[in-house]
Amino acid sequence: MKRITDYRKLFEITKDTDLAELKLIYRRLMKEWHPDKFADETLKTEAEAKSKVIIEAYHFLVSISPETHAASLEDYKLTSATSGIDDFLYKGSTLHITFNDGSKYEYFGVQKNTYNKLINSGNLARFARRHIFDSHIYRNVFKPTAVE
Amino acid sequence: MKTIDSLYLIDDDDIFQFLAQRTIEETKIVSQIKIFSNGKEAIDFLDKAIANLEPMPEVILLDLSMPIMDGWGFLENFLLLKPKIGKKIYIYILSSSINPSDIERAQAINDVTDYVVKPITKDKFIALIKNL
Repeated sequence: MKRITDYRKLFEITKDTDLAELKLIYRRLMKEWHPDKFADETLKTEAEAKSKVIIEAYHFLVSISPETHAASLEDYKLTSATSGIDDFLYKGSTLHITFNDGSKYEYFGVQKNTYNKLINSGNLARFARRHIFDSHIYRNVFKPTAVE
Repeated sequence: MKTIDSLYLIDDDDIFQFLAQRTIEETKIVSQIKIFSNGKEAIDFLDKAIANLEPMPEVILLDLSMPIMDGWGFLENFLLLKPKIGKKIYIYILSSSINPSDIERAQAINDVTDYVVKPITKDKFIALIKNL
């Protein structure tokens, strides 16, 4: 969750900011911090590091935005409702889940005790369907490639 | 300094597209930059260009996360077209490193020359072309 908070702070936005506004802020920040604008080497390096964070933050914030979720909701619903859990990893308060269909998702702000209940639940997918998949901020980190 | 006749930039982020295009133009190394917003647009274009015996790009800068057909999809399809392309195309993955596993996965693919961490700067781009 800290990551989300940090990124939102960088963009000075809230969870209700829409994609169009996020994009406007991204454009402004990218112009402001483009490394080629700076002649001084130290400033250039600093601007490059800053731009890198801005790009990461933007793509991250896009990946958890309601618009992104709405666009891939059917895929997500199908995966989360029907696919079993192949693998998982809990780090910080982020839970990484690999589904049987090959897709990978991250869930943010998962409490330690929720995680403990998950590993003791006997049926991972069923527990996660009830207590994780629909109640946490998530993003897709890997989609099995679909070739036409 | 080697110059490049044709370069493809494949990325759905139009702000990055704009800045990268301007940066690359300022280096004056590349004669023509073609921009595509997803893998499918680029594959369809390549496919047609091959059929019409048009010149192939020398360098492709490829983002991974894109709608419709992402960078991985592009690479898979590129592999199918490759036997029909008579020359080496250097493919660089554009990375914004929010998914570190992507870089590992990309490096394991033979057709990927290397990856570039965004943003693209003049120095970075020049260094990349020097290494070709």
